[in-house]
Amino acid sequence: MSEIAAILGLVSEILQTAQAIEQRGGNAKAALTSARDRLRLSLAEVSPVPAQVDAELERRRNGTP
Amino acid sequence: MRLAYHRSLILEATVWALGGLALIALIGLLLGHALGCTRTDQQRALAVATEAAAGALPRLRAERDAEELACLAATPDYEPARACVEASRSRWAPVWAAYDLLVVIDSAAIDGQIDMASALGAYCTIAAVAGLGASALGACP
Repeated sequence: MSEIAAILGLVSEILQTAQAIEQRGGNAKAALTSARDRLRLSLAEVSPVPAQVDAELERRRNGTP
Repeated sequence: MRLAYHRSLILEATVWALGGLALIALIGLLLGHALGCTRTDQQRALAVATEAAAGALPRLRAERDAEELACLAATPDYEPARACVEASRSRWAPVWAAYDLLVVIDSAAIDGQIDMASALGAYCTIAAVAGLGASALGACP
């Protein structure tokens, strides 16, 4: 009987370790998702072209002072 | 006596069967652990590279803006200033395209459409091609 108890203990330990590995993987994925979202937000903040440059070019093209 | 012998045999067989299963599970766990660790480490490396790429954006934006403003300062005329600004935008276009690709790679890696090693490799290559200083991203060689 003690052998069965030892084996059950081992199985339980294996399951706990598997759960810890799964948890670690989940954390890494969450970190990557969060980094991707931040990059996406930062990119959205970088306007394709500086508006003041286009405004100045437009002013020069029209010859307005 | 005979019954006790049979019970003992059944118990022994059960112990061996459970032990075998536990051993198989342990081997599977060790293999899974090795593969899982590699995958997790690559996922973290990709997250670090992504953070670094995002961190470089304000500097790139400032450089881009300064370059275009220098075009305006270099001449008071419209045409040369416009040509200078256009040339600058052409130079910067691949950088912004590369950034868009980095987001696509991250998303594909998160969704499991590409494996982590390929994602990391592609990320570092694109970062280097775009002149983002791939080695400065922390996870690239």
